[in-house]
Amino acid sequence: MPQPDGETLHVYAVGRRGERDLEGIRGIDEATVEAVAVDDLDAFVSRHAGGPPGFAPEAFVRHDAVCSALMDGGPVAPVRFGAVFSDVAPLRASIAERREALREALGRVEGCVELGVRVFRLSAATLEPAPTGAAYLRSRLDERRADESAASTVDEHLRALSKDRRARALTAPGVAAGLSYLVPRANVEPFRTAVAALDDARPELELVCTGPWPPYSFVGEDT
Amino acid sequence: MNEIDRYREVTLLELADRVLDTGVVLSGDITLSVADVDLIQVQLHALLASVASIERREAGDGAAA
Repeated sequence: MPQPDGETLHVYAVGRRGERDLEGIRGIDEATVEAVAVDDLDAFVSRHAGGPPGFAPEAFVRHDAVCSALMDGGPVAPVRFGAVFSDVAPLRASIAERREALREALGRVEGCVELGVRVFRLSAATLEPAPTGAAYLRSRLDERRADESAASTVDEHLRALSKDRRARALTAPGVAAGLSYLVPRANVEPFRTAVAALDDARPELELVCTGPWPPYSFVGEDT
Repeated sequence: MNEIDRYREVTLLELADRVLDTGVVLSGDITLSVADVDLIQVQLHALLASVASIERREAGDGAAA
């Protein structure tokens, strides 16, 4: 794929058109963050010379930091990293194309943050060679069922404090589940307390609560 | 790796996973090659797996939570 020579736009998030103060917000490579108006929405972007920001931890961290800072001024729909526009016109077209879905997403996440819950099962078996293929498959199935049971237990205790929840497709030994919750801001501390209490009450599980994140998991097309 | 470093590393993985795999998908002028993204996912998951097994092992040592 040819790299563009000119300036490219990197998109962080979409929000409702408004009077956000973007002065103190620095984008990737310390770029200024500006608002591009599209109907009643704002797309938050930065400009970059000599090609788009590469895939690097610093860029991901800054992308997330910008979304978090924007969140203070109202609901935002974080944009997946990697959308690169050569000009404002194609960006406007891309946003206009999905304006209804974006408005709905903003309504869904208003007043909320995303909290993550990682569930480790301490008795999770490391996958060792089994005597037979059937035994191996049985042990995989047992592990999967134990993971689902752990996720279900955790979810029962937490869902009342949230508006919505998603299971994330993290796969790693011992990680029974990666859950994401859409939590109204007023419920954040009670939610964290509930996770800690559940962690204490269930010695066979280890729970880690992460966030608050911008609501990445709740603004996509599948929601 | 001490506990704080480990916490930071897993949090970074969670962040990268969210930023790369969720959010609104906008169709830009430039599309980054799928192979590039897949490779990052594989590397991230491998690292997450190794950190998860460290946490599991240490938690199983019977130390106070």
